[in-house]
Amino acid sequence: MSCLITPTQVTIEFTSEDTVLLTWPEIIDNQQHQKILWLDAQLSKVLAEIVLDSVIGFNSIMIVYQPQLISLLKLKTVITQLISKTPERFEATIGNTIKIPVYYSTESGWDLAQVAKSTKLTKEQVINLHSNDIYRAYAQGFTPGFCYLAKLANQLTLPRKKVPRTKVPAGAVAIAGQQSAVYPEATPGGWHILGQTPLPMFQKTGSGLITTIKVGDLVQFYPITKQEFEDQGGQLISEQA
Amino acid sequence: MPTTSTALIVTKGQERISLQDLGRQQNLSIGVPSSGVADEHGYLRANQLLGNKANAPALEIMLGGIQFTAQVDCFIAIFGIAPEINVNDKAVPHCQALQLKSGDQVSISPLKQGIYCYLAITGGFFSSTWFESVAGQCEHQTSYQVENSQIKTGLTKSDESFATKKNKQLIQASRNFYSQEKLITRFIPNTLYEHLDDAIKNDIQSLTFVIDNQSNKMGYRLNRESEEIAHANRIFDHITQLTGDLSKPVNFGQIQLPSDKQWIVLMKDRQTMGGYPTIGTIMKTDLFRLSQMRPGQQISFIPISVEQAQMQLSMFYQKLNLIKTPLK
Repeated sequence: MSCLITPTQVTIEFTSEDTVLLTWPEIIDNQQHQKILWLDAQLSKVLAEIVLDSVIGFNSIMIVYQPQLISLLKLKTVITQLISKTPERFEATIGNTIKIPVYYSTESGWDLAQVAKSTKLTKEQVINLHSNDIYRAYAQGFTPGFCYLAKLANQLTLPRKKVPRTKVPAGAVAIAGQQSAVYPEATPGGWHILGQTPLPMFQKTGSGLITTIKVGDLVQFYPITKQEFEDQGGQLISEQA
Repeated sequence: MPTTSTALIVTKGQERISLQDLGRQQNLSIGVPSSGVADEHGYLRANQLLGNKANAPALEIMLGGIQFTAQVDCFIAIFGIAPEINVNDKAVPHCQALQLKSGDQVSISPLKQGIYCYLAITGGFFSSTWFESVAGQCEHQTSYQVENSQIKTGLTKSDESFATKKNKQLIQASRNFYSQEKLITRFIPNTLYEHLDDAIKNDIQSLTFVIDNQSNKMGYRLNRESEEIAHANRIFDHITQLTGDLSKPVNFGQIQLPSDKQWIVLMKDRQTMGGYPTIGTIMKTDLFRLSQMRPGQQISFIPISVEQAQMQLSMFYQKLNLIKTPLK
């Protein structure tokens, strides 16, 4: 079978009348992701009047552009040229480091006990593994301010819950597959909840919204006590029986 | 802040009304969907009837069944698939500008066809914006505002002749635009689809889907006809094998295959990332048609080139006075 999903080069697809999707090999990789961010920045600069928006994924980027201002051929040429100019290696990460306090416990981490059981670790080991690593924000989406952070320690890798919860609380710190995330708002969700953070994931402004984490940032979780959680304005939400 | 007046007060069906425009163009990067009107055709026609700017905020009314009272002298236009409209208990035509006096009572009967109709007012309704759009800012309310500077006490002669003269033509154009029966949607195939064997492509084009009850502005769920199970299984197995695990950005109109039994077409209020296998994206003008279709109606898919889809969209916007420019 042809290996469509793991191209060695970047695939360029015109996915709708006004979007083009660029896809890199199907891996979560810091260096590859920095190439994607570099290309995003270049495209916004070179095609400033034509590109309206872009959405960055783990190994992809979708560009929203104005089709009335550029032909498909010209756009493809510009993209191909920029891809060929992408630096081979990036030395340092450009993003900020965001530290996120987490009250890990069985009352705030609705799935902590189950995760410990499934991974054959103690709860303390789960907390240590989750809070020891530094994660990279590879993508943002699903809901405003929801950042996909990777990569999670192999020992913590679990599939999504078979039946998603209809409501996961705002501030829930959760894991699924190789990823971790903080739920910015109460939404349905199928990830395993390890704890809750008092830190909001976005602030609404009069005309828009500012997110706490931006794609490309580094993120580290650190444990706090229930008292510290409450002192920092956290409102603990327990799971309804 | 401009000075405003209440233009109309809703006395029935407020839960089915929301203020809308063409949505947001520049915030997908932080997970905010584009949103905006479900059916751009209906919305743009309503604004066009009044000579409004294409993106003037208008009311999106789901399934009709509403009543309101005008609070100022104003001109409105209602556009949908043959909505039945009464002003002070007298039937009036749709597809044309209607002059209302303060105190006039207007009702739109429950819609017999389609999902939405659009109510535009001269100059557009006023609301605060978020990321440069009124979408989601003003929903299910009993009163809707207009800027005082936009209140017009009379249409010019040319406005009036436009409104009446074009009426029949517009009704016919509307009938032609929307699908009465099964909608054969044209989709822009992705690379994965292009590499499929011809037999699988034929299978995809031969499937008929029925729109599920659980369809809304986030997504239309499509159930395949039960006798087509063998084809559907073959397609699903094939495409799943070719799809990676990592979530990717998704488009308005993307056709997702979460299972062999049910496919999903992503609509205006969709999330911005997704991980399900996909074969491509329905062209926008067919998405506006789809957004007016009801549960139980049928759709199928045929491929179209991106160039053809772009041309169709460009002609559509030209016809409806919308020269696409950034909403900056």
